[in-house]
Amino acid sequence: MTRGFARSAGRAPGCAPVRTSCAFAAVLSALVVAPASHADGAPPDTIPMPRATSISYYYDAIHQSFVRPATRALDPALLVRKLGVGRREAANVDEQGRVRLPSTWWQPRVGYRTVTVHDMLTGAGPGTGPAPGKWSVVRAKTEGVSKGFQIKDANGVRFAIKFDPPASPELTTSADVVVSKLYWAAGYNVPDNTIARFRRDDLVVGAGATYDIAGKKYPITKAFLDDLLRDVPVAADSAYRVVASRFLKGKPLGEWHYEGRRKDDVEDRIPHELRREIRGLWTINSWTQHTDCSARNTIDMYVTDGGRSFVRHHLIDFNGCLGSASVVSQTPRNGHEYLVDYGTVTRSLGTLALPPYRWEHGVDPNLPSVGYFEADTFRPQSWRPFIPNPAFDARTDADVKWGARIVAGFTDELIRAAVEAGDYSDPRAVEYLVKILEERRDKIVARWLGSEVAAGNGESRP
Amino acid sequence: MRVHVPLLGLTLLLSMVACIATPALSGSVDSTYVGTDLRASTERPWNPPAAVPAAERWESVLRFPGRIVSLPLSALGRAADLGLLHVEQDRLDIRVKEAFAFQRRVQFAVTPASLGDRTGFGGAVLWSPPFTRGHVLADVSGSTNHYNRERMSVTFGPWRGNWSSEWRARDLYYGVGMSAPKAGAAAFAERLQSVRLTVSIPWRRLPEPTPSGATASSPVVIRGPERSRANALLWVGSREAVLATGRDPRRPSFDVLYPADAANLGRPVEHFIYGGSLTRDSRGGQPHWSHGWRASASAERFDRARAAFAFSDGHPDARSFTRFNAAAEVGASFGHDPRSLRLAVDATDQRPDQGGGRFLIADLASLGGSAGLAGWEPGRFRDLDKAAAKLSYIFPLGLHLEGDLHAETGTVFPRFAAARVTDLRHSCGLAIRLRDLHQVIAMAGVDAGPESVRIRFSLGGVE
Repeated sequence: MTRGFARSAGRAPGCAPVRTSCAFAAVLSALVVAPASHADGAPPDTIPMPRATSISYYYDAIHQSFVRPATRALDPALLVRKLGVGRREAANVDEQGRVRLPSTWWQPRVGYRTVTVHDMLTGAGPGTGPAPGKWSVVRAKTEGVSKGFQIKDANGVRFAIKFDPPASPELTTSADVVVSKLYWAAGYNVPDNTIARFRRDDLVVGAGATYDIAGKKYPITKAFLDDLLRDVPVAADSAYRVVASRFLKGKPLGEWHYEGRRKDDVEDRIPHELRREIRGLWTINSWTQHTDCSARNTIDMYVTDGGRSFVRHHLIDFNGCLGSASVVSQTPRNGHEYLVDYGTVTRSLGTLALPPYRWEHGVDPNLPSVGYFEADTFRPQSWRPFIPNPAFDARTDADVKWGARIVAGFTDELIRAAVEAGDYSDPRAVEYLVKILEERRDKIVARWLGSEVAAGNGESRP
Repeated sequence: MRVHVPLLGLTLLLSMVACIATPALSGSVDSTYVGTDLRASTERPWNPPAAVPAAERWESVLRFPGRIVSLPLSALGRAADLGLLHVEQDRLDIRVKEAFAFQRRVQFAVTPASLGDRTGFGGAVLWSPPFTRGHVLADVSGSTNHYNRERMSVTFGPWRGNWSSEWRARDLYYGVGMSAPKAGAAAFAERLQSVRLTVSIPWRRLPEPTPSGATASSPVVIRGPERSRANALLWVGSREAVLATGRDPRRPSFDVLYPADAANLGRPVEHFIYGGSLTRDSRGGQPHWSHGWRASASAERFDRARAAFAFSDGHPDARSFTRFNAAAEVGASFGHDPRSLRLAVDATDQRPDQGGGRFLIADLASLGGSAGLAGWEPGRFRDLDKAAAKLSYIFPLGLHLEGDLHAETGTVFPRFAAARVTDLRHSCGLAIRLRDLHQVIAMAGVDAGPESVRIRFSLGGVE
């Protein structure tokens, strides 16, 4: 149709203005009618490795907090959708609303298949942490929100090692482990995180080990390691408690975005904001208070597995979950407001903030290793991450219920096992976290599924 | 290029209809949930036969004009993205931090200037030579409206000696008294130079309130230690002021409209100054001070110049006077995230000696702008004495945002006995402040009085 119209426009004789307008219209039509990039035929079993990319964390925060809200406010299409068309449903679901399989993003586990405690704790595998023996430090992280380094264990397996902030032992390392177990069980690709301990004598400097400062590499020395360990919490037996995150298989390609596609990945044909497993993640994040769920905590890996090479999509860094906000405790506001929350600002200006915010009624457990995490003020329908997320903004009820069904599938036994994997030294922390996760799960189920399913019986079925 | 509008419209309409009628996906392949394998799949993933467009076609049509209009912004965004990525990959942010660390090591800083209202955009350079171990501090400030200031201070124990020189190019003068008309706006310039020796008691500074009790329950309301801070100052020095014609191109110079006040135009006027003050401060709370009070009282004598301390020989027509000032503010709050009510009062009483000599314009008490009555132009009202009060309501807007709703009232008068309630002028305003747990980072607001609506903004700030 487009070509035909263009041809007839070209034949319009003797009328320059009309010809011009026709040509213009034809170009415009071509722009709007022509489908986006088509890739005919099935992708080969081994796909070419896409180009590794990086995102600017600063720009992402600015874009999501300022630019995108402004764009949405001025978007006529969004207005039409709000006025009646409704949100666009996920594009990768079958007639029953299930995520079409196979998927390189998600695998049906809790809520779909029987997941035992052993399965969950083994997770991405093998769930054992670094092998006993010397740790060879191969690289160090001197920048970012938390300190850490990379090691090779006695078997030559590579791990990322991260510490707790000095003032909050167990806060971030435990959250990282607990939530990674839960997200694996929920079906996502995550690293194998475990709590590990070492003493200074267990560390040796690997050959050619370096650390970066402002783009320059410097050799790691014993003195550097001593300096690095100076400010991190140490136990009475001189042991350092860390989270050991096993390196993911494959070659890193950088973060994946919650919006758009990796266009040079031939298997990535669905905009991420139209993927049910990404939009439905909102519900699971609300359960675990995963407020730090921006693109910076994701990674694509080009893996060779099962006889073919392809891109697998992962969630990483769960130290901004439960009561932990990476280096400090979550605040009572977290989960209730964005960092820049125009709705809250507008309401507060209108009411002079005289009515108390819901989060102000929250009660702190006063458990330093847990941080601020509670269920009383949690409202499943209005949970918000720290920074707006494009996929979550596009979610529909079907997406939310999809996530809720997975949350509903977590039994009390699975929750307790995941929390115990956090290796909290304070038994009150374990009991409290189990209680809160169960309460939040029950609230999610009650809100989104009603009587469709009973929470925690492990038998929820979409 | 002329565009045939009906034809174009028809085309767009047809396009939209065609697009809406097009199914989003075709060739769906059902998936299977049969199986027990929990491992991440290695199979070829399900995909539609073609890439799914991010927007449906009718959405693209609707957005098309906006996309065209916003192309420059998109380009700007892309450039910002690449620029920030470059900053992060090359760890330029770390280099900036290192630059700040270097500044701290050499005791050098570049900051926004604080030269007062209507002074334009300004910057300041501060330097404390490291070998002086913080005993010597020098700073130079300048602004786009041609204001500048140079200062140097030497501190040793309780003693501080400081020298200051300032050029104010276009301050406003409307005449004296509350009845001064708005139409009488004139500009004046002034060069001030002073030297002062101050002793502070107690000279050992008490610790400032620091974040404490930062438990998980109080990441927002972190109370500093409840510590009462009392301080007394005594000072002596000399000041020279030279009144000059105003440099504001939009307003006449004051000597044109007020020739009687221009008797000292261009001539230095000197005073020998001494005085003292008492301050007690028990304010506390975070993120803003939310409870407690502060009170201060001062008396300062502007006496005849002493030749031994004079900047120059000439000090004609200087009128001696004594200035008394009292100020107090009190605050209380409610709510977990504090909503605070603050009341501040400020009164100045200046008593000139009998006899001749002119009172300098800049020595008059003033209202308007940040001196009180922010909804009025700076320097809108001037007289010997003034009284002002401000009621503020500080309330949270977000994690790092707060609102400041305030109302002010005040008046100037020649002597307290002549003060009239009916002379009071009022102003109200709202400001939004960006802040962290310790300080205001930036502020933007609007203040309104009967004569004007003023938009204010600032970077940095001290409460």
